[in-house]
Amino acid sequence: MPKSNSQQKAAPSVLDLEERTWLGAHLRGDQQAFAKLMQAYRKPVYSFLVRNGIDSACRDDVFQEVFLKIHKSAHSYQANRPLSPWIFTIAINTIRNFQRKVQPAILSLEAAAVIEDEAPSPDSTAQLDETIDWLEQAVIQLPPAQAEAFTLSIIKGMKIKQVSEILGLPLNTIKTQLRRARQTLLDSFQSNKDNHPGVKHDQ
Amino acid sequence: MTNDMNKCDDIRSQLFELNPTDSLTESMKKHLDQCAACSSVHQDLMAINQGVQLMPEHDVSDAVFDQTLQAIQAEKTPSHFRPKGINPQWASGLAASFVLVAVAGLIYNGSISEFQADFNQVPATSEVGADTKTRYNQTNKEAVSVNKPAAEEDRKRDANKAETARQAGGFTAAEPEMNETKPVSAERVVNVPLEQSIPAKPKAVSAGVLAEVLADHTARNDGLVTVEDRFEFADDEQDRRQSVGKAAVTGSRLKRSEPLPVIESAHDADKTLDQLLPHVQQVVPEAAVDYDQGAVELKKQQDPVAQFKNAELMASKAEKGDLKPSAVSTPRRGTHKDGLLANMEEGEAFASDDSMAGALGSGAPTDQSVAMKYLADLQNTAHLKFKSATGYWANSYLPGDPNMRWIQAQLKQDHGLNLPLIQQNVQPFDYPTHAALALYLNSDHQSLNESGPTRMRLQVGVQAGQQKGGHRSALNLAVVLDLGLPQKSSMYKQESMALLQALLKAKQPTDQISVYVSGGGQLIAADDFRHGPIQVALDQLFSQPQTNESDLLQTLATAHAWLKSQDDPNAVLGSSAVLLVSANQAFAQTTDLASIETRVQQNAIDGITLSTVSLAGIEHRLPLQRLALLGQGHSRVLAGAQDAQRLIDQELLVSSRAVARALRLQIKLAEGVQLIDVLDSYALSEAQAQKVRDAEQSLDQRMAKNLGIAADRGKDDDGIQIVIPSYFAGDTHVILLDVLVNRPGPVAEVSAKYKDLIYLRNATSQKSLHLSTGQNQLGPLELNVMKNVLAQHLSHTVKQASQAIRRGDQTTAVMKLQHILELYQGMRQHIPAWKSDAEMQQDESIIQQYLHLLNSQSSINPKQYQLIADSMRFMSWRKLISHSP
Repeated sequence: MPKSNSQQKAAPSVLDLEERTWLGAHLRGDQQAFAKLMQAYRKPVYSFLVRNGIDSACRDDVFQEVFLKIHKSAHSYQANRPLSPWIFTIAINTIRNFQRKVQPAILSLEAAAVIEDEAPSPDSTAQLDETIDWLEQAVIQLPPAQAEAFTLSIIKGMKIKQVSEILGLPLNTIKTQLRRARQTLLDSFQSNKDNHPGVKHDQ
Repeated sequence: MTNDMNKCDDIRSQLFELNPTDSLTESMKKHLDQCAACSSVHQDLMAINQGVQLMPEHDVSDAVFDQTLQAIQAEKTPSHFRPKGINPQWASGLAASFVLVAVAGLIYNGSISEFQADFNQVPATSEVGADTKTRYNQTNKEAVSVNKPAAEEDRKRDANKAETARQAGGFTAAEPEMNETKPVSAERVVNVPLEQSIPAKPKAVSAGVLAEVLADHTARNDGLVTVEDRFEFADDEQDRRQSVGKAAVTGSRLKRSEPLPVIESAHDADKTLDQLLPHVQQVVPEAAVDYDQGAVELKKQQDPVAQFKNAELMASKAEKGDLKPSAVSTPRRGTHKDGLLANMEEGEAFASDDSMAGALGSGAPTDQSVAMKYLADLQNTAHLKFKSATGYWANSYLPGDPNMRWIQAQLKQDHGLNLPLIQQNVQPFDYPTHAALALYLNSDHQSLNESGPTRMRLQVGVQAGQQKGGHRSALNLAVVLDLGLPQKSSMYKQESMALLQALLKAKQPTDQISVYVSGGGQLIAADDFRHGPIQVALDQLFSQPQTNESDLLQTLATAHAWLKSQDDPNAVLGSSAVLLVSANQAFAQTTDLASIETRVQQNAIDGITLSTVSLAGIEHRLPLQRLALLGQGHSRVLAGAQDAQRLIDQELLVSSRAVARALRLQIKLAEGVQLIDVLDSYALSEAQAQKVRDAEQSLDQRMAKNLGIAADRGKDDDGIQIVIPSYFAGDTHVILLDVLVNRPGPVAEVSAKYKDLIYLRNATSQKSLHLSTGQNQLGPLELNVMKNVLAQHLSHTVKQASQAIRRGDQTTAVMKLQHILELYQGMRQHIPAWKSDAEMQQDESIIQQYLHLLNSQSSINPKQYQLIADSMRFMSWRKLISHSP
């Protein structure tokens, strides 16, 4: 089960050790094992999809695809390694595949000029009267690379080394992405504060 | 000042690096106390961090969760999972050690030379020391080969295995695959792997593909004569052929003598009826696989080699006393006299096991007289009439039949009938590796009779690769928007815009797309089909006040006129199409619907297809679906603007499955070989042949113009010529010839000349068959040919039974089905390798289901009889075609 960063521990917990056995049991035909896994990871995986910008219309499909891939790749999981990074590796790959497929068409300038900007308008942003709500939107709008690193590291509480392994990027690149993500969020946060001084943010 | 700025930058940089749980260093604290700006940044970052910690988790709905879990639990354990066995590296080492020891032993005994002998000298019988003149005498050669060394290696390897087996008292060179575990392939059996006559080129990435409807339509309308009597269910074969020929020449294929039934279900999903009829799959679970996805699996499960191996294993066990004699069924190769007839004389020995017949429900021993007569007819050489093995013959590869699609759509509805499903036999052909198509030539005989002529079936197999072509010819498309009255909402504007944008994205430079609006004439000219004009036109259209004008008939007439003016006389028929986009919820109440249907049908005959897209939801789809059927197109429903790309992709890109165009098969029979018939085909008249030539040359020129594949057609070849306009990825097709061979030597030579859409070139593949005299044996390939002949017989019989039901003559239908059932049961009992053949068992089961339905007359109403007839007609078609309708 993924933990927040405050709960992160060096040694694997009992729960960690237990969840490592689930896929093995699933392969041996234990139907309850995969149900346990899905129950444990339904929220983390779904939240991960939300925060990596998967459109609500497609989210359920991607969610199903992630768990189908987990099922189909179960044989490749090594039980001596933590389960959570393995699952999020599948999730991130599924998200990337999906985003490649739904890459928006590059429109010509004349068409782009008349198509409305779908980003939240200042008015709608002003209605986000809590930082959390604002953060939900802000994280989704991060560039994909920053969103991936930020979600895994800050929100899921994974170590940078794990994030590096999951995303297949060097440690320093992850650190850079995290720094940029924070910078982006900070700029957005301050800009939002300046434009809407009446809006109170939790501090 | 500069130092202060540097310090601030440094501190902020450290702040950005901090994790939420990290504490500040003393120097940072000190700076933050002194610097309001940095302190503010810190506060903001803290706020963000706190917010992150408090962000709630999102959760998936329970329904989706349950659905996912059920889907996964319904699946089997992942196939990749294997229990841990011996370490592969250890196994390799162990095997290498054995080989070394064996070689050392042979060298020590001086017998290594035995393994260096000419492998062509391997005897053909299983008896050690048998006369080498009776060795495996079938060869099958490529005329041109670039992979000869590899072929030689394969041949030697196979022969080596055979030699080893022979020395061990095992199998002969005639069936080297019996010792192999992998699925049988035509190439491996004849010991000459597929060799491509053209070296591989890197795949060209080219935009463009052809709408399946257009390609399918083209496949049938390129002027090529078909063998299907689509809507005319003639009573006798002669009438059938005459009507087909006439229809093909006049182009009036849509002769319809009965009203169109109402269709309530989707018909454009190109899937088989598997989903509808799961019970059929329960009869033979091992065959219950999705046809497209599971073909390979099915090949493995139904591998004739494996079946032979089972028979051998059983025989071996019996010899050791491990099995009771009644359970044994072995081919007894050493005692064969002369092919099948010899087998027939020993039929009782093989028919000792009635368990299968019992399992299929008959319970009683099967009467083999039907099977004996069938086999005797196959072997008969007396009083034969021969045909000229030259000229153009009808093409029997007809994918995408709209009539069959229509029947399939009917059958998908739940009628309370237990209608079964049939599928084409899986062919043991390897996929091509460096070409779009692979060609195979086999026969149901391994060798010829020593005394007198031999009657046999030749089989020409064409296997397409699984890679898709991705090319299409230029397209003239008229998009007709029928928005109706109350539908001018922003939603429909978005959806229309999304559809046109998707079309624009898929448009190739040679395409012409024009937009018309019902009641308003041409909205966007072909030259203006660009982003700007599209946007402006739609803005204007949807900003205009609503009117009652909606003259779809007139608009379609205008669109058709434009298409005809744009259509190149040399262009492939079917390159022009109408896409009717309707948001009209009252479409069914359109006053001139009958006139519209007549016009659409007439234009489809003239080569302009019509597909429909409903923006008004699934419930308003029926009349559009009917229109699409008449227009030989597809009917689709748009599920929101985000669905537009998928829809257009389906409409335009599905036919990227075409891997070859203008496939010309040339079959030349050798001197001394006489043609009795080409099964499921017939010789074309001169007028029909001229249409084939014209269509082929048209394709040839269009390919040269669009894809740069040099034009190379225009001359007739010797021998039998069959032209197939389009061949689709993954498809398999066999052409069977009934011939009489009078002397040993060359029997036939086949060449396939086609436009390779994978490698964008003219490609040619050739095969030849030589046979000598000797003892005939039934190897896996011979059995495959026999099974295909039997499948044709089944298809025709079921079709005849279907026609009988349509005439109201259920008795004849039952008799025909009973006859074919007895034939199948007799054949399975007579030929040991077919005893547990899953495909044949499934066919038998299906026949029994039909018999059960027809025999329960009290519970069947007249309408249901028509459904049964339709179902049988569809099954008859599906048995011989690997492509969905």
